[in-house]
Order: sequence, then C-alpha cells, then structure tokens
Amino acid sequence: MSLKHLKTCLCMMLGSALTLWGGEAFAQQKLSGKVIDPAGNPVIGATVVIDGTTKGASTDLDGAFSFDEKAGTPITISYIGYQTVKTTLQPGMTVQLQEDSALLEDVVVVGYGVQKKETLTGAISVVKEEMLKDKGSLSSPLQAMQGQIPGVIITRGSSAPGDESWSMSLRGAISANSSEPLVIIDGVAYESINEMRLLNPSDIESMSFLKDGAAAIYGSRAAGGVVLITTKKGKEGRARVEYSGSFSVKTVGLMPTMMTLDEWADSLIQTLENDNNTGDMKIYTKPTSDENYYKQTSSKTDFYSFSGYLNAHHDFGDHSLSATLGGQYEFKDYTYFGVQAKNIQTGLEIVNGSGEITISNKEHYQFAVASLFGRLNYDYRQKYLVELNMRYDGSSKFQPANRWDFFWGGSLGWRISQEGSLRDLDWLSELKLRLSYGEVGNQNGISNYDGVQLYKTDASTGALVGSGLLSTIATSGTLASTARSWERIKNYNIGLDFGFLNNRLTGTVEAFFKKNDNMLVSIEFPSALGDTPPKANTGKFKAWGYEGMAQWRDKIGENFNYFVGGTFTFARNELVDFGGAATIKNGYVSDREGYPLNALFGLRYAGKIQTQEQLDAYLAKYYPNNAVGMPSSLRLGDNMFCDVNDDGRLDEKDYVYLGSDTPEIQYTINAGFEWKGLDFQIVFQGAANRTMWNGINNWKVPMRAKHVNTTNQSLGKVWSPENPGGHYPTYTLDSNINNYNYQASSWSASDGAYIRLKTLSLGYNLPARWFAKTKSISGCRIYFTGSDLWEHSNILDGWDPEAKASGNVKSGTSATYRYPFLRSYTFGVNLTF
Amino acid sequence: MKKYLLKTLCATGLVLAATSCLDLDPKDQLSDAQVWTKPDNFTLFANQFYGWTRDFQGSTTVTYMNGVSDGPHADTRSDLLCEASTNIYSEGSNSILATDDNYNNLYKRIYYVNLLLGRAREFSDQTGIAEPKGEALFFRAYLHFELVQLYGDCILLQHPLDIDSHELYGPRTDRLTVIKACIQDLKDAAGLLGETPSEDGRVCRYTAWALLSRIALYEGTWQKYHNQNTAESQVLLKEAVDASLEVMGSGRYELFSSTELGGRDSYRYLFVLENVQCNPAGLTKSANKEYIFARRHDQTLKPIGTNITHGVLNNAYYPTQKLADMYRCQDGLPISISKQFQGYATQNSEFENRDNRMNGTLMMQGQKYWNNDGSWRISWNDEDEAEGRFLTADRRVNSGYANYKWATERQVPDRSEGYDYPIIRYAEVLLNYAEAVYELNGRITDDELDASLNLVRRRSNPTMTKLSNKLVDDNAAEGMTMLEEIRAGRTVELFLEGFRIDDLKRWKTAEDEMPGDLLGIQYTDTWYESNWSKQLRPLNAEGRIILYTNRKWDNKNYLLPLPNDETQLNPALGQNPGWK
Repeated sequence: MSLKHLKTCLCMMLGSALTLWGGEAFAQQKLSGKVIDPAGNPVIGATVVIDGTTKGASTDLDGAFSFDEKAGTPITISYIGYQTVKTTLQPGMTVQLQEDSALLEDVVVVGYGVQKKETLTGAISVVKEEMLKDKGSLSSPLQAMQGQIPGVIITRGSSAPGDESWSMSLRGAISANSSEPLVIIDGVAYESINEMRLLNPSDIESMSFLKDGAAAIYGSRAAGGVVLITTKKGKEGRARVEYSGSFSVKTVGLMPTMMTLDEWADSLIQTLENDNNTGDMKIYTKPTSDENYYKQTSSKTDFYSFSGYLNAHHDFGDHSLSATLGGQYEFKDYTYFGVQAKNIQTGLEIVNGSGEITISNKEHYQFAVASLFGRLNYDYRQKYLVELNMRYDGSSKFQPANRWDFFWGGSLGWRISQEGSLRDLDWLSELKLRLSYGEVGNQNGISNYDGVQLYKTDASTGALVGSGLLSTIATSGTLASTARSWERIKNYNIGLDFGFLNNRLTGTVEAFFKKNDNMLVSIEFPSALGDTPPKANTGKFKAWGYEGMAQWRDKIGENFNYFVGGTFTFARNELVDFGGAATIKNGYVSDREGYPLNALFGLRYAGKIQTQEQLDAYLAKYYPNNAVGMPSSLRLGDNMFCDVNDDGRLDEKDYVYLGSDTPEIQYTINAGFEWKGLDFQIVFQGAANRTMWNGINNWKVPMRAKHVNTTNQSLGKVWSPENPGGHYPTYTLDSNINNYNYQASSWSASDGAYIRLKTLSLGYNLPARWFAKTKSISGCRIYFTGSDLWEHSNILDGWDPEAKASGNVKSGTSATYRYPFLRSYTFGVNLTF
Repeated sequence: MKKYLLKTLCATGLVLAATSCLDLDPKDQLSDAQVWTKPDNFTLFANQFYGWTRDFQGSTTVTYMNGVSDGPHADTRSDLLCEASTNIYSEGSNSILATDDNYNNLYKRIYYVNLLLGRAREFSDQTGIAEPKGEALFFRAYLHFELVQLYGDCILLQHPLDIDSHELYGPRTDRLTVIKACIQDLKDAAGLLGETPSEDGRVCRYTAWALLSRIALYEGTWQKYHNQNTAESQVLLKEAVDASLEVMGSGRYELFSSTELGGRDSYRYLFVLENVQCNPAGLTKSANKEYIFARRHDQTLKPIGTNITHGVLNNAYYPTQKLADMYRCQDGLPISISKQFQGYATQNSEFENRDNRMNGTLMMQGQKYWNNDGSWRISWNDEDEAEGRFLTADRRVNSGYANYKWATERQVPDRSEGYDYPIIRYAEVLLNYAEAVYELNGRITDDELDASLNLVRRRSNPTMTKLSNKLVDDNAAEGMTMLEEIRAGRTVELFLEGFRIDDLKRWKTAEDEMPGDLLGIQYTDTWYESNWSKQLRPLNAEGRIILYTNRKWDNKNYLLPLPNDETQLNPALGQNPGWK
C-alpha cells in the first residue's frame, strides 16, 4: 500500500465520516413551498408533516411553509375540508388542495366528541345550518325544524309573542312523569326546551339529536333523548361581515270568528225561548273594578360546569380502536321570590301599595351532578362497527346510599355496502344496518332533596293565641322517600341507512321500542299513614314506533339541481301499570292502564232526539240511576248516547277510548330546486292520529253564558224540527243540559289530523360579477319566505289544529288565553362583505 | 404524553373532589335535621295544633270541627234543631261515603302529633320542651276521642307510621283501649303543662283535666248503656269525677254572671262577649273566667269568618218543641208536673215562669231585639228602645220558635263578629261532675248538686228552686227522676254547642228520641191559630206543627260508617255493624 493510497483512504474515511457526521449540515437549505385552495387563494393554517416523523409546520398567512430538509422528502399536507395530499418536498413548490365534499358532511357531533357519519352506529339525526337559514324571523330554532327530522316531534302551544311554549319530544313520551330531551348547548346543559327560544338561529352551526342508546353516555338525564347544539366558532382567515335584513308581515291564521251583534241577539232570543224564559233581561255594560295589586318577582340562576375528557385513537392494520374517557361536575343554584302589594297607586312603576303585603312563592334550591363517562369504538376495515357507551352518575338529589347509578349503551353496525362484491355495484352507494340497546335514566318525578323530610314555615297565619296569629312550622305534606331511584328506560333500536344511485336517493328507516319498568307512580295508602306517601318505582310504561326519511337529489342538465323528500314518524305509548286501579273518568286522563297518556274517554254518540216518543223512551230507560249528568229536563234535539255495555244504565262503564291528544303520526313532504342562482323550497307538514276535545267553555258551547259573546260555528247548523240534520243541539242557558250535551264523547271530540303548507321560500343570488367592481360586497341574496300559509283540517270551530286541546286540563291552554297562530310573509336581503 | 397525564390527573382529581360536593342541604325549606334542634321549633310545630279544634265553623269539609254549622256534633243532627232542608243524618238516611275528609284529616293530624312526640324523645332538653309535649299529648287525646265518637273502634296510633308499618293494614283497636290511652295521655299532659296557659288561648293542666272529664264521662256512660260493662264504666266514671274535681278545686274558673245584667242576660251575653261594647254592662272578654279552652276570635285579627248572627237568628234555624218543653219552671219542676206552667194558648204563655235560659235562647213574640246590621244597639240602654232603634221579634215562621243564642247586638259586618268559641267551658265541667257522680253511685247528694248543677242553674236563675233529692222524691209519683233532671239541666245549658247528639248516643236514647217527628209550636187552640194564617205545614193529632216526619233510627246510626276508600285499602278495618 502506497502512502498516496493511505492518504486517499484516510481522506475518504474522513470525508465520509464528515459526510456522515455533518451530512445534514452540508445538505442544509431551507426548502419552502406554498399551499393554495381551488380558487387560488392561500390556505392559512394547513398542516404540513414530514412523513414518519413528528416534525410539522402550519402554513402562514401567505399559505407558505418551509423546512430544513432535502428535496424529495415525503410530506403530507392536510386541512379540514380538503383532501389530504401526499407528495415530496421540492423547492418552491405550490400545492393546490381539492375540496373533499364527502368529508365535510361526514362529521357528526356526538356526546363528548365527533364521529364520522360512515361509522356511526347510533340513531342520530343531524341538522345543519342550512335548515335554519332564510326562514324569516324565527321565534325559536324549533320552528324551522318542525316535522323535518324523523323521530323529532315538535309542537307549539300558542302564539304568545316571546313564549310560544314550543315543546319537543324525541320519539314520544316514555313515562307518565315528564321526559323532556336534555338540551346541551356547547357542552352546557340547559334548563328546558323552552330556553331554546333565546338562541339566535343564525348562531347555530349544527344540532345532533341522539334518539336511542347513543344517549346513554348522558346517563341519568337521557331518558328523553339528547339534543346537542354547537354554535359557530371563529375560523382563521379573512374577516367576514354578513348583513341580513328583512321585512315581515304577519296575519292571523286560523281563529274562530265571533258572532256579530245581530247574530248574537237572535241566538240569545232563541235560547231564552227554548228555556221558556219570559220577561226582559238587563245587560250590564260597565264592568266593576277589582282589588288592584302589584306583583314583582325576581329570579336568578347560577350554573357552573366543570368537565374534561380525553380521546385516544389507535389503528392496528385493519382494526381501529378509539376511546374516550372523562368526568364532569355540574352545579346549579336557583333563587326565586315575589312580592305582592295590594291597593296600589297606579301611576307608579315600582312595587308599592298601602294594603296587604305578602311574600309570594319563595323558592331556592341547589342541584349538583357528578359523573364519569366513557366510550369505546372499534371497527374492522370500517365495515363491522361496535360502540360502547358508559356513564356513572351521582346526583345530589338522593341520599348517599342510592345516589350513584350506572348506565350504558351498546350498538353494532354493519356497512353492507362495503362487503366484497357489493362494493363494486355502482347503483349501491351506501347500505348500513344498525342495532343498538341502551339503558338511560329519567331524572323527573324526583324532588330536589329526596330522602329528606322537609318542613315549611308560615308566619302569622295560625290561630289567634296571645296577641296575634300563631306562626307555624309544618311538614311539607309529603313523606320522605328512602328507597326510590331514577326511572330506568331500556331503549331498543334497529335502523337501516341507505344511499342508491350515487347517493342521489338517500334515506333512513328505523324502528324503536322503549320500556320503562320502574316508573315513578303515586300509590294510595290508608289514611292512617298521615302525610302523602312519596311516589314509588312501581309503574310500567312502554312506547314503540318507527320513523324514516328519504330524499331524492339530482340535477337536470348543468344548472338545474332539484330535490324531493319526506320524513315520517309514528310513535305510540302505553301505560302498562300505574300502581293501582284508577277511578274511571271522562275527558283527558293519563292514568288508565292499557292506554296511552292524554287519552280521551267519553261516551259514544247515538244521534239526536228527533221525536217526543224517542225522548220519553230515552228518559224512561236511562234517566234513573244515570251517572253521566243526564238532566230530567232533556229536550228534542239534544244528544243521545250509547249504552255500550248494554247494562241498562248510562254510567262510567260506557266510556270508550276516543284517541289521544298527542299526535301519533307526524310527516313532512319537501321539495325544491336551484337554477342559476334562483332557489326555491316548499315544505308541507302534517300530523295524524290525534283526537281533540276542547272541553266545555263559552266558545265551544254556544250561548252557554248570557252575558258574553260566543263564536259563530253553530249558525245555521242548529237542530230544529225543520233541520233534523243539524249538528248542534238547540241553544239553552241551562248548564245541566249544556254539560250533558258537550261532555267528552265521539260527538264533541274531533279528529285532529291536519296538513299545512309550512314554508314556501324563493330566493335569488345575484350574480357575483355585478359586485366585483365594488371590491367589498362578495355576495347578495334576496328572498321571500312564507310560513304557515295554508292548512287543511277537520276542526269545525275555527281553532288551529296544532294548538293543545283546551279540554286537556293538565297540559292544554285555556281557550280564552290562546293567541291564534300567525301566517308570516318575509322579504329579506343577505349581503356578504 | 406529559400534557395528557396532567389532564387526566386534573380530571380525575376534579371528579373525586366533586363527589363530596353532592351533599346539598335544602335552602327554602327546613330539613328534619334543622327543625328539631331547639325548643322554639317544637313550639312552632305545635302551634298548628290550635287550628284543629272545634269552632263555630271550623271547616266546610272537615266537619268534625263544626260546633254550630252542620257536622257530626252539630245540633242540626239532633232532635232539638232543624233547617230548611232535610238533614240526612238526623233523618237516619245517610249512606257510606266514598271518602271521608274527617277520617283522612284526623289521621293526618294524629301523625303530626306523633311526629313531634317521637322527635321529642330524642331531644336533650326535656324541660325546655315540656309545653309542646304537653300540647301534643293533649291533642293526641282530643283527636283520638273524635275518632271514637264518630267511628267507634279505630286504629290507635302512638308513634308516627311509615309506608311499611304493619298498623296500616291491621285491625282497629277496641274503643275502650283507645279511650284509656286518651285518658293516660291527658294525665301525662296535665303533668307537663303549667298551672296557667303561657298565652291566652293555649292549654294548661286544667284544660287537660276538663277534657278528661268529658272523655271519661262519654265512654263511661257508653260502656254502661251499650255494653252493660259495669266494671269498666265504674272505673271511667270515677276518672270523670276526679278530673272534674281537679278543675273545680283549682279556683281558677267561675261561671260568668253579672247582677247588672241579670240571670237571663248573663247567660245570653256570655256567648257574644267581645272587647268592644257588646252588652249593656259594658263587660268584655276579661270578665270571662268561664271559658277553659276557647277558639279565640277578633274582628280585625281573626273574625269568625262565617255568617253567625244571621245564620242563627230567627228563621234560619228551626228549634223544636223538644227543646222548648225541656226548660223547667221556676219551681224546678218539668212543665208536665209544674203548677206554674201556663200552657200554650196565648202568644207567650209558654214562656211564663220558665227557666230564664228559655228566653235567653228563644225569643218571645213581640220581643225587642237587635242584630248586627238591621238594627243594632247604640246606647245600650232604654234609650235604644225609646228612640225606636230595635227590631220586633215575630216568630210566626217555620217552627214558631226563634233562636237568638250566638247573635250579637252591636254593629259589625257579617262574618266579622269576634266572640270566642268555647271549646270547653266551666259549666260543662260542673255538669259532667254531677252526671258522673250520679251514674257512678246511683245517687247524688244535695251538697254535690249544690257544688255543680245548681251553680249552673242559679247563674241564669237566681231565684229558681234548686234541684234536690227532696224535690225529686216529692214528685217521683208524677214521674220525675234525678237522672232526667240532670240530663235536662245539661241539655238546656249546652244547646247549640255541639253536645246533644253525642249525649243521645252515649245514653243510648237516640233510638227513642230521634225517630219521632220534629215538631214546632202548638198551633191548634192557640193565639197562633188565628194569627198565623200563612202556616201551611201539616199539623199532628194534637195540633202541633210537623216540621219533619218519616224519620228513622237504626242501631247502625250510633256510629258513622267507615268510608269506602279506607275499607278497600285495608280490609282488616272491617265496617261498623249494620253498615254494608
């Protein structure tokens, strides 16, 4: 070996060592690139990661990134809403991202996290902001969604401005105690559905409805299902300013019409003649004044919530596992009191009065819940899906002994469309079979301090002893319960999601069954017990039904997109065991075993009394011993009722089931199109399987009271010997006869089915190039929306079929306090800057 | 990894800490642990008991509380009084109720009393809670006595029940046992309560003794006459005697009487005493040492609340012949024997020489009277009559007898009268004593009579012949008996105070006295025949007005039936005999 040779070796060795050692340094140059979107704009905040390492960077305000790597290093660029790009690092490269429309729709908010729609196994419906847009001024986001989501039954009680009493139930009732859905907005649980009216619909980004066992992760409060609302958050990027202005006209919708003075006077004269009432009648026109009083109330709610959870995700080849684990503590403090003073100075605008001052309804309670929850997801090749939800809840309402309880839910999914050969069928885009079971709890029916005997104090209202009235402490009137707990509902669900013909036809069908085996019911005890006993978990309740939605979306030619779709929900419930025999009553009751809640019971109508012989025979047979309020003064033209069980008596055993006040079927049909900036949408909404009975009041019963006006639905339809087919009995002031004729029966109840044109919306997006010159306005849309424009129903007396029946004393609204629903016509403009 | 660890630790720590924050106390109501911590709260809890006693009209639904308005004790259910419409209890045609507010509320109230006594057992300062404990024991006896009077046998409860107590579904306790428990409770109460009530209107130890005399006499005579149970009735009657003596020996009570007012008006004005001018002598409630336990009223603080004056006056209540004929004459003899009785022929002949209480209760034809809003007293002396400010009684309506006991003479709006209702008054205790002594021993000495019944008689009748053994013996041939005299003396004193029907039941004479027709005045061959043409009611064979006829009294009517809901929930209760 020559010295030259050795030097070369050494040099080479040194060189290679140097190369090895400082190889990076030699190749160190900053390589930068740029990421742009389909429109050519820079994408800010895109993630660029060096494959196989943890080194990454985000693109800056110009969409630029740079690395100290050598060219050819594989990198991955990703950004939400766009398809991920895998490429190699090149100096001065520009990467244009493509929109991933499939991904955008695929993310669904579930309890404590998000999931992709494809791998969802629960019965979860999603509403995006599109459904709430351009619907004119909404009193509550629920108004825009009425009937449009399968399984979500939305009804309103009245049209009182600011407080329409919207109510929502997911798949109907599940207990005789209320079971409203739990509403969670951005992670914070709200008081009730009614609070949603305080939300601005344009702040909502999406709403998820957890209808089955998927809600089990909310444990003790999930019996009525869970609604998760996510509001819009700020995004990185240019500031966007939106202006939206509108002008609305509202007109009264369905409302009964009062009689005119002539009609009323004639009717009154007719009534008095019928009653053989001779002589004049004095009418007073000036009402007398009441004792006036001023009442001021104040309420305060403090709500604190601490929660935290962890997500983990791992892929092993074809298997994918993710887990969520977390804890939560919520605390609520509510105070309410009112002061009432009599004999006020009407000019002052603060509570004042020289008369009696009382403290009215004072209330202050606190409530806390602590929980641990978790979820486990597993899927094999995104084809076979398993999910498990768990929750361990502890509530301050119970005594420490029965405070904690465990709820869980499990679901399975099978994406049939991903199976081998089916994958290649081009007409089948998506077919997924889902099965789930969950146990959830209902926290209603339990007082805030269960297990503790409570006492009330009253100042100076007792007997006169000494020099004044005694103050007293007395029990609250109810015994404390030590052995009861949440109602536990078992939820079964099976569903099929489908998409055909390249997702042009999509939809879902589901069937569900819910069982409540430990419903809280009142039980009667002998009086020797003393105070009222607490409700006990001895009732049983079940509910079942099915729902579905389908939509066809297609385009004709290049510019014309259209869609047609509908939803359908059927939900029925049944009170299986109410803890004891209830007395049989007529009207709306919720305590008859074997029937649903709000069931209407009444007599069966047998026609009008047409002749004197008929009248005599009917009275002779049924008047003695009757228990239906039949007066002896019955006349021609009054109603006859059937003796259903043929025992020769008309009494409570002759009541038949006439239907329920809650509509069992709700459906919508919607359609629309878009063409060159013009968009049009129409929604019909309807309900069926509902029976309405409006009770006995001055508007339902014509001429019931001689000093007030009444409505005109009976004009021309009153029975008389010349009009034997008249629907209404002859007028009378005799309350015995009126109460007998108008009691709950197949005659006075009406079919509450209806269909209404809910929304009609027409809009036009002005072409962008009109505004290009302004450089500030980037979009403008003008639109017209009409709500509640037309309906068809079977109600005879002019009332809106959607309003709660005023005969339903427990939950209905009184006839004279209802606001009629309004039709609204809105013209609006949306500008984006 | 580190930040995940930190987050996990935080979350877990939070939840664990939070679990202790689930123990919350109620904020607007007191919990059990907070109430029974100081003697004041025991007193406040016991205060509600005072709303459970008898009153003019204690309640429209919980009618055991009605001393004047209709209820199980009211005279409208007896043979002395009736109204415009039939009283089905008086007539014997009442039926089993679906639910009975009296039954439900009596047991609810017994529960509250037992709740206090139960909590009192565990309380440290027993002397501090002596009064509320005494009040609870008093009311436990009061409420159980009501149950026995109404239903006979009833479940005796001496501790608060809960939903799995066996007593709920067990049989009733025999009435004798219940009464003995009541008597023991009252003795214990007497030991705990003070000599005088701590406040006007509260109970003291003599209230307990007075109630004891009533209860023991009631059950003593019931056992004697219904069950012929001599042994037990003797024990009970002795208790009654001893209890009455306790009250009589206390020196705290005396019959209300005023020489200025006179005999008849001492009786009459006692019942309408208020703290404003309400009688010609200007006497107010402070002069009343007769009411041992009263439901107090006051025009501003706690008006009576029911239309008492108008409700009792004149043609609202119809007193019957039975009452009118029961008043003895001034010679101490019944009208059937007395030579002083003037018969019925003239307008007011039947009132002559009679016990003053007759005219202190019933108005004479043409008598001047006053009421609260027609014509009321202004000067409270003869000037009122001279000025023509009076009403003239015309009893030619209904039964012909016109009641004016409980009617005030001062101007006061309806329902705002403020006189107290005597739950227990001294006159009753004296009458209890006399009757108990007689029933116990079979005889009563003149001294014993003078210490009791004769005091009551002489309060209203300063010169009337006293009841004595000689008087009875001298007239025994004519049918006079000591027992009848004692009973009649009691009845005329306590009319319209809620005693008659209970007395008839315990004497077992209801079956004799109740079924007869209810009669008014003698019409035929009297001044009324020619001066009361509008009298359209039928007359009986003697020419008396018939108010009600077709009345019956079965054995079952001695007790009220248990309501349907209770017998269905607890079949072991059974039902009172004769009721299906």
